[in-house]
Amino acid sequence: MTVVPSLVRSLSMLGLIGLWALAAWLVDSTRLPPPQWVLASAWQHSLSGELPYHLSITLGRVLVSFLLAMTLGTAIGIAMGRYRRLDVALDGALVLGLNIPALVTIILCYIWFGLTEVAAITAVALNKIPTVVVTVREGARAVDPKLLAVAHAYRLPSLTTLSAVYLPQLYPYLMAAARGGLALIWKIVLVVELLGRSNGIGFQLHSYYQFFDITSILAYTLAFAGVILVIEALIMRPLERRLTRWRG
Amino acid sequence: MNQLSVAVHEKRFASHVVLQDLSFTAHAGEFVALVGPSGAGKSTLLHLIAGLDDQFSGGIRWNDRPLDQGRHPEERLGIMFQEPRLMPWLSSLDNVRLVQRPADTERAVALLTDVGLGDALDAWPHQLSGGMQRRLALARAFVVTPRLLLMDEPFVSLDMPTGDRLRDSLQALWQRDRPLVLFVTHDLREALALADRILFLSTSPGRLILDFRVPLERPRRREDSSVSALQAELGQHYPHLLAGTLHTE
Repeated sequence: MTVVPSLVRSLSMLGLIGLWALAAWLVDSTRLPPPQWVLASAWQHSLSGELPYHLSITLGRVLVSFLLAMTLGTAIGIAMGRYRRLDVALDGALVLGLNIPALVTIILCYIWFGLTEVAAITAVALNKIPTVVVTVREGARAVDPKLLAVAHAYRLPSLTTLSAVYLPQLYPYLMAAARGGLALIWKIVLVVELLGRSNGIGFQLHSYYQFFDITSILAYTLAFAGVILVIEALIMRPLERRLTRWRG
Repeated sequence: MNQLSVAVHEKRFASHVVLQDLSFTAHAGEFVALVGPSGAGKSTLLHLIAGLDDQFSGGIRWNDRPLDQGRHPEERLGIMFQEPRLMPWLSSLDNVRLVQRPADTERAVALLTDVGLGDALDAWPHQLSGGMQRRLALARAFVVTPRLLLMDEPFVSLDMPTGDRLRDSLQALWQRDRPLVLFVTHDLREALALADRILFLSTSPGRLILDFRVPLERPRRREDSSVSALQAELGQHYPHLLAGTLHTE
């Protein structure tokens, strides 16, 4: 049953790489190195330990800011979905938060808090929180009061109500927020690293950019893309399957 | 002796008065049906008793204590709504275990077997038929050994054999545990088949117009001739009873 989609997935990835190889062959320039060069370069950078080091630094930042943004965004989203007045009060700030360019938040965070790890993480989280809030608020508005009435009538403890009655209704929205969240955070973390950190993939890309080392840039990108695909396949999709298995 | 006393002075939604000066008492082990025209506030009344809505003037007391916390074992409350209201992400067994305090899998399984769901413990609610979903909700209501059981037209829109089987299950479970049941219905025959006592409500705002004791032997079913005869007799005395008035005009 799952063989066919994963086959299609692999074929489409292979197709992309094939297109890349074809384009590199047609262009025949160092500006677009073919896949095998990039792969060799990634291997080199891995052997030297440099790529794993910067990749792990970036992954750590992604993880921390992701957890921070999801927790705060979910809490605010639930509260706004539930309390009309709070929703009205915070809606302006939310629209602002959604539309301020990531670059502005990053620069301001660095100026106000210094070129520190805290400033970097804060900047990423601030960029992500509003989109989590919007998605989770939608979910909180869709929560079925009839099921909550069951929990209330049977006098379920608040923690049980939250975990067994309330949150399961939010799972699809939380999954959507997490997926979109991860994608956005990857992108912003690199910018944050480029502007104010001395390690991480963003910093490395910046260095190779200055040397015009396109092969290394693509090698880092490739490693990065590999990690994303692995996370998607090993964490996100199984998690989603588990949370929605009752739909049958 | 467990006793429920209900006294609702007024319940309104905005400017619309739904219930007014409605009071009655009922005792442990009694099966009381609430019958009235739609809009008489029957469901609203159950919501007030269940503690789902505290915006009203009056008081609901259980053994002379306000029935609001439900933490005391003698205040255990079971409820069935018009829809089964099951958690779609929980299996049958987990739906029943959800309301248990503390969890007792053996009892949950035994109850599910009693209502005929012994083979469907791991089924998701969406895999069950409408009748089976009601059975699951019935098992959930009885698994807490309720002292007070509130039922809001729980068997509405089921075909007749399915409804009959559910009513049989309900009577069997009720006779075993003897909770006080408040059973809302607009189906007089259903009320006559199940209840010891029927409280008839008027049209909105709902008041009590008749407190009727059902003089029939158990077990009985909705289709029994004794039920038909009693229904006909009531209809002769009060032709507009189900429209919410005792007047013969």
